[in-house]
Amino acid sequence: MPINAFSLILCLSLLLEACHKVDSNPSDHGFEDITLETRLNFQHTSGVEGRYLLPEIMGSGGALFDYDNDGDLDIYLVNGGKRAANKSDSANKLFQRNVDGSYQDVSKTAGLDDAGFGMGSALGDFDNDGDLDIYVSNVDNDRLYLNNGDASFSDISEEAGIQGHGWSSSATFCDIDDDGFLDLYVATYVTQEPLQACADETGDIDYCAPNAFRGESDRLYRNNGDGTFTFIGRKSGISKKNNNALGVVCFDFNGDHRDDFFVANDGERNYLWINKGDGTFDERAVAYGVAVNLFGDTEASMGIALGDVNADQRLDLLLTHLDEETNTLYLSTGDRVLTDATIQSGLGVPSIPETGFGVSLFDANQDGVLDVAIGNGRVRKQPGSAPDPGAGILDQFHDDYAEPNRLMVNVGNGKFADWCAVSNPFCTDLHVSRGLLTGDIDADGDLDILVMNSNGPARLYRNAIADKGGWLKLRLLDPTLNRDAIGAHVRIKVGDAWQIRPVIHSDGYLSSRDAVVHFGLGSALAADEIVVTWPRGERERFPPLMRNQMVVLLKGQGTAVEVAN
Amino acid sequence: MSKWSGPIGQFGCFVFLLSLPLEAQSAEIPEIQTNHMEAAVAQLIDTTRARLEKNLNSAEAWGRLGMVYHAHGLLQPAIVCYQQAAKQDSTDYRWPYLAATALRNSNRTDAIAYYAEALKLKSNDHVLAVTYADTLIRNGQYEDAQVLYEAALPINETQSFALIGLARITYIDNDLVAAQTHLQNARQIDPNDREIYTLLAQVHMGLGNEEAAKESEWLARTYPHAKVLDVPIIEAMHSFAETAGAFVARGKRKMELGDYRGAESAFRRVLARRPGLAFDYGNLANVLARQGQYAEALEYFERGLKINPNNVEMLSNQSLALMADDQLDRAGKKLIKAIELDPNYGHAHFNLGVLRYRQRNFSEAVVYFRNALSTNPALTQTYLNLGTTYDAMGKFQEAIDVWKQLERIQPNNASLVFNIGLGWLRLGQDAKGSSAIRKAFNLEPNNKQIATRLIKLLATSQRHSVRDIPQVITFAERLYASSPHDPVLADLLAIAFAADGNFDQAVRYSEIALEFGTADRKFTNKVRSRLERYRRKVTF
Repeated sequence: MPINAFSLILCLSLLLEACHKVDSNPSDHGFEDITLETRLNFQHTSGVEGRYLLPEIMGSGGALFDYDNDGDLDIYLVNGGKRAANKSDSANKLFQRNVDGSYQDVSKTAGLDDAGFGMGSALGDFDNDGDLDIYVSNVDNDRLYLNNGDASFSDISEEAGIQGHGWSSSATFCDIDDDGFLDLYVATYVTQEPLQACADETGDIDYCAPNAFRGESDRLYRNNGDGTFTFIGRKSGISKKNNNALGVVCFDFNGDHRDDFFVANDGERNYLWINKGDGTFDERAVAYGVAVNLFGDTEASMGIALGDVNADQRLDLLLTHLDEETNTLYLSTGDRVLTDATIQSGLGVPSIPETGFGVSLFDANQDGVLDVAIGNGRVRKQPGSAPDPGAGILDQFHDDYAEPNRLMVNVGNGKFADWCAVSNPFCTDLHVSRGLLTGDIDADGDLDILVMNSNGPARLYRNAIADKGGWLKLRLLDPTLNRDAIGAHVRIKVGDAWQIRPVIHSDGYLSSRDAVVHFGLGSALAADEIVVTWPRGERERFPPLMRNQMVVLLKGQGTAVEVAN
Repeated sequence: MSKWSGPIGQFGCFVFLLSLPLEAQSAEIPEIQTNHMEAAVAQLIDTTRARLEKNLNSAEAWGRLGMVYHAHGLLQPAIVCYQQAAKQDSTDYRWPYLAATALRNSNRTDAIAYYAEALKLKSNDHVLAVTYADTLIRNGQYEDAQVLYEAALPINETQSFALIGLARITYIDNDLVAAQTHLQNARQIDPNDREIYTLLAQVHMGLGNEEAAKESEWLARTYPHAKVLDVPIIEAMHSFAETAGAFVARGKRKMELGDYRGAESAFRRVLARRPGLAFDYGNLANVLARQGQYAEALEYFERGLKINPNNVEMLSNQSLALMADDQLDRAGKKLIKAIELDPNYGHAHFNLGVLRYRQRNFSEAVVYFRNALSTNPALTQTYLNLGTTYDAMGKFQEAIDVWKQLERIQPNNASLVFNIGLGWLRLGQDAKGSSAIRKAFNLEPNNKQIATRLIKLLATSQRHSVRDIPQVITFAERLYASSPHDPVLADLLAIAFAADGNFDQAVRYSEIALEFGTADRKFTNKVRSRLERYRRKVTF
C-alpha cells in the first residue's frame, strides 16, 4: 500500500508539471523536416505580381492517399499559378512514394497535372471500385478525376455533370441519401468581381477581405450511381444561400445517422446544414451554437478539424481564424449540442496573433488524446509595415505574410499547452502556410505532418517524438457500397478510457486524406474493445486488438451490437 | 460613495499591480515610415507629429497623435503616445481607455490593466464597465466580469449589454435557466438585438426546447445586426481616419443615420481620392437617389456599371432610381439581370416584387416577395408588401398570415396591426378586426387613419359584441381635443354622437367639419350626406 501511494503521488506531480511546462527537451516532441531527403520537390506558385488579387493569398491544399494501392501514402499537391510563364511549372503535382521513402513526380503519367488555378482537393471512391477518385477545386473550372485502377486517372468532369464554374474552395464526398454512393459538396468562396486590390487602414495596398466581394452559393451533387452526378443545390436548399465558404466537413452532427455538413465561412456566420432525410437540408448553426463564437462575433473561419478533444466520446469542432480573433473550439456537450470552450481549452490566447488555415486534431505522442497542429500564414499585412525596397516580389510576399506554425499538446480534459520547442522546425519555419495534413507517411505507425505553403515549398515533417505510446490504425471496409464507410465512426476502449474517431476523407483546409483512423494507445498493450458504428447506424463489436498494427475491419465480420432507440 | 465601492475594492489592488504599462519609458515620439501610406494619411501624421514636437508637455497633443495612429491601425505607436499622454495628465481616463481599446484584440492582459486604470479615473461609467467586463470574460476572468456587469446594470437600465454579459457567464457555468432569465430581461430592453436571440437559441436547445430554439433562431436571422455600444471617445478617435476606405465607412454610417448630405459629402471625397472603383460610384448614386436627385444618381450608377456591369447590388439599386423616375421597363430589365447573376440576392427580388405590384402583376409580385424572404429573412419590409399584395388580390387570409409572421417580431408596429385588423374585417371577422384595430389605436392614438376606422367600426358595426358607443365617444372626444381644427376629427366626433343618438351634437360637429373645409371633395360630399341624415335623425 505505501508503495502504491508513493507511485500515485509521483504521477500526480508529473502531471502537474506537465500542465505548467510541457517538456522542453526537443527530442521529446520533435518533428524533423524530411522534405529534402524524401525529394518532395514542390514549389507552390500563385502568380504573385503586385496586383494583390485575392486568389493569390488563399491557396492551396492537397491530398495524402494511396493512389496506386501499393500500400503507402502518395502525395497530391495543388498549385495555383495560372499566370506563371510556364504553365507546367504551376500544374498540380502527384508524387508517388518509392520503396526507399523518396518521392517521384508522376503527375503527367497519372494524368493529374491539372493546370487550373488550384485551390484544393477532395478524395472519395465515388464509383465503389476500391480506389480513390479525386475532385480538384479551382478558382474556375473544377475537375473530377476517376481513378482507373492502373495508377492513372481520367478527367470525367463533363460526362459526370460537374459544373465547376466560380471559385471553389474545400469539397467533400459523403453519402447524404444512404444509397451507398458518395455524393459531393463543393464549398465556394467569393466572386472576383470587381477584380481589385484593397488597402489597409493606412491606405497601403493589400489583399481584400472577402466582404469586398459577393459570396457564392455552395454546390451539392447527388451521385447517380452510374458515374454521373446531378446538381441538387437549389432543390436541397443548400444553394439558396450565398456565403464565403472556405472549409467543409461532412458528418452526422445530430445523431440521426444522416450526414450533415458544417461549413466554415470567412467573416460571416458559419452554416450547419442538417440533413432532413428527404433530400433537403435545414441550416441550424445558430441553435447548435456554431454560427458565431460565444461572444456573438462572426469570425473568419478557414480550416475545420473534427475530433473528440476531451475524451467524452463526442466529436468536437476546432476552427482556425484570422489574427486578432482566436481559433475557436466548439465542444459537443450532448443536449447543449456544441458550445464555445476556447477560453477554457487554452487554445485561444496563443492563436490571437496568428492567422490559422490548415488544422489537424491528431494524437502526435500517442498518449490517447488528440493534439493540434495548425498551419499559419497572414492574409493582411501588419499595419504600418514598410516594404523593403530591395526585396523582390516573392520575398516581399514572404516578409509580409509568413508566420510560424503552431503545435499544441493535449494535457487532458481538452486542455492544451504550447508544444513548440525552438528546435522544432514545424514551428520555427516561416512560411505562408495553408493546407495541412497528418498521416503515417513513413508507415512507422505514428502521424507525420505535410504542410502546403503559399508561394513556398511543401514541407514534410516526420514525427520524431521520443517515448511515444503504442498505436493502432484501422481501416473500415464495406465490401458492397460506400466501401470506405465514410460517415462511420470507430470507438476503442483502452483501459478505462474510450476514444472515438470519425471516418472521413476531408477536413482541415482545402485538403483530403485516406480514411484510415489512427489511435494512440499510450502504454496499453491492446485496445480492449472496438465498436464500429457504420454510416447507417448499425453497430458491430470487433475482438480486441494488440497495439502497433494496422487492421482492416470488414463490415459483417464483427458481432452486431443492439442499438438502443 | 462610489457605486464601485463594494466589489471594486478588490480591483483596487489588482489595478495597482497591473497598471505598470502606463509608466511610459521615455518621451520620444514613435517613428514610423509613411511613404507607403495614402498621401492624406502621411500628411495627417506628419502635421500631428509636428504639433506635438512643439508641445511635448501637452497630454492633448500626445493623445491626439495616439488617436491618429490608432485610427489607422498603428496600434503600437498609438499606445506609446497614450502612455505619454497619461504621464502628462494622469487624471484623464481617456488615455488608459484608448490604450485598452487598442490592445483588447491582441493583448487582453495589458488591455485589462488599462481598463482598470481608466475605471479608477471614471468610476461610474456604464460603457467603460461593460467594455472592461467584456474583455475580462474573453480572458476567462468570469467572476471579475460578473462583478462589473452587476455594478453596471443600475447605472444604465436602458441598456442590455450587461444583461447579455451575465447571460454569457451563466451559460458558461451551465446555468441555462439563469441565462434564459437574463436574456429574456435583455429582450425586454432591446427586442431587436440579434445577439440576444443567437444565445437564446442555444439556451433553448440546451433546455431541450426545440420549438423555442427555432423561434429564436429565426429571430436571430431576422435581426441582422448585433447592437453595438455607442462610445463617443472611440467615435472621436475613428474620426481621425483619413483613408478613402474610412470615408466610405463614414458615408455609410451617415446614410444609416439619415444624414444624406453628410454621406454625399463623404462619398464625393472618396471619388476625388480614388476614381475608378465601381462601388464608390454606386455609393454616391445611392445617396443621391435617396435625396431625390435621380438624374445625377442614374449617371453615377451608369459610371459604376460601366466599370463592373455585373454588380448586382448596383443593378438593383439603380432600378429603384429608375422606378422613381417612372422608367419601369428599364428598371425591370436591370432587376432581372441582377437576379440572373445572383439568384440569392434578396434585394433584387424585393425590388422586382415592388415593380410588379406597381404594374398590377400581383401574382408575379408574390413570387418575387416570397423569393426575397427565403433569400434574405432580414428584409422584413417584405412581409408588409407581400401581405399588401395578397390583400390587393382579395386573398385576405393569406395577407393576414403573412402580416402575423411580421407581428412576431414587430408586435408594436401600429400600421401592421391595423392591416391585420382590416384583413379580419374583410373576412367578416369583426370581433378579431376590432380587437386588432383597437390595439393599433392604442399603439398610435394620433394616427387619424386608424382612429377613423376604429370609430366607424365601433359606431356602425352590426355586431353588438363589437359596437361600443361609450368608447366611441371617449375616443372621438379625445382625438378632437388634440386637434380641434381638424375637419376629419370633427366629422368623427359627429359620427360618434350620431351613433349614441345625440343628433344635435352630431349636426353641430358635422357643420364644424364643413366650416373648416378641406380640398378633398369626396370627403366634403360624405360629410354633407351624413349631415343631412343627422338632421333627419337617421343613423347608419
